[in-house]
Amino acid sequence: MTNSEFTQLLNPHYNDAVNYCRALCAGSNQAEAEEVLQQSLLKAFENVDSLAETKKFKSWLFQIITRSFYNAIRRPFWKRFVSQSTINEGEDFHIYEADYFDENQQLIAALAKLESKERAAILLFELGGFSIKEITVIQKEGSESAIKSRLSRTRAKLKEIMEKLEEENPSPEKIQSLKTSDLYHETSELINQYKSMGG
Amino acid sequence: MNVPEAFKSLKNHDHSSSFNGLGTWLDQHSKGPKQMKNFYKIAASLVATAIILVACTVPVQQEEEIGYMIRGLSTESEAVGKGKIANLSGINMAEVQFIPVLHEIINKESSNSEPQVYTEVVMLMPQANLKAAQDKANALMAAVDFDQIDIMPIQETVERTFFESALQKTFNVKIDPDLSEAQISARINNFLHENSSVVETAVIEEDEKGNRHAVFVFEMGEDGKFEVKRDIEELYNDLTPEKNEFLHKDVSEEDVLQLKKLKEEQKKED
Repeated sequence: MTNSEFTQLLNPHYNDAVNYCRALCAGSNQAEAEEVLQQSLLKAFENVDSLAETKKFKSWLFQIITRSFYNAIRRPFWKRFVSQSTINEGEDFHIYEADYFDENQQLIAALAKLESKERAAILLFELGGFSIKEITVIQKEGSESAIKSRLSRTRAKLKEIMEKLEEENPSPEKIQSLKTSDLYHETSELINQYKSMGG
Repeated sequence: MNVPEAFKSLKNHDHSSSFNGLGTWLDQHSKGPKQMKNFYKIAASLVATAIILVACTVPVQQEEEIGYMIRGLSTESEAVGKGKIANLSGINMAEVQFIPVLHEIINKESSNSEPQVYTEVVMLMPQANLKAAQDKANALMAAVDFDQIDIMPIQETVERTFFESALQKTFNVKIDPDLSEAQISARINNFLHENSSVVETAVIEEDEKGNRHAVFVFEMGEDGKFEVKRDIEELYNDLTPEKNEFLHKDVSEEDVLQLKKLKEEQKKED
């Protein structure tokens, strides 16, 4: 398969794949996530001819990303500080934009607290848009009921974690909403504004 | 932010800016699709075919039966034995030889040895047909009183390619006529020499028409030499009276049994 044929296959699923990999690598830094994604895309490109049906490309690609992630986290911890990639560092091409990792920090922090399989399952559902049946195949589980219970458990867990994180580190929106609903602080704000105007 | 909203925010991030440079990057860093080029496929096929052909044409040696030798020891004299066997149908006298041999018989009680004259009867059957050999041995036993009779296969080591060996075993193709005559005759003579007191001489000759013949020369002692010439293709055919000028008239099975009865009575009288 040519380069252009491969990118044509990849195009409809590219955004989801990139976001999926980023969220899957929650708890890792940008360089590590970049490496997992680049390795996955290279592997997919090199082995695309082994794919029997192109309509299964998306699930096949996400399977590669998931396996690459598992391989990365299974490496001995000291190797994780040394890049195993043959990709030259310092090159100009990066999939992830510089400020992307500053976004959605609360969700990412919550995902980082999940087990890797739980994280993968919830992300395949929410970001990949896969069905229970497809997730069962990707995660190589014996039954769909195992995936259903995993998803249910993970959602509850994720919600709990996010609520906790919210309490510990309220978001700017929450702070703003808290401020406007508090009369004392509203009055203090007005006074400060008046003083700044020279009054 | 609740969980569904958080996921929605993450999912909606657009990465199309990096997608544009992805193709070039993949070309630069990939090892390329793992596909053998046509040239290498053809070369690999040719090499594999050549190896198979060479392996199949390497000559292999195998033992092959080309005939049988019937050898028996009888206490009856040569003249008596000849007379009895000559009356049998289906026996070519030219292929039977009678040789007087002297054996030392040791008396267990006295430990003295006594000389005993035996007649060794040797019959060559130049076709690889065990049943025919057994039938002839049975006929000889019915006519002549043997102390011991053996049927020994005449084998030679032939060298042929793997293809030919496979064909030989599967389709029972005849021996390749292009085999060396010197090799065939040397093997036969050696076998006969080792297993009989007779030294035979077998040679393969080719006539003007290109037909190959196996020629057996029997040393008859005072009677001189006796030569038998057989078409090499006929080696695989059963002998029939119509085909062989040396065969006598057909003798029935009852005649053979009567002869045997007469022989037994004669022995008792002796």
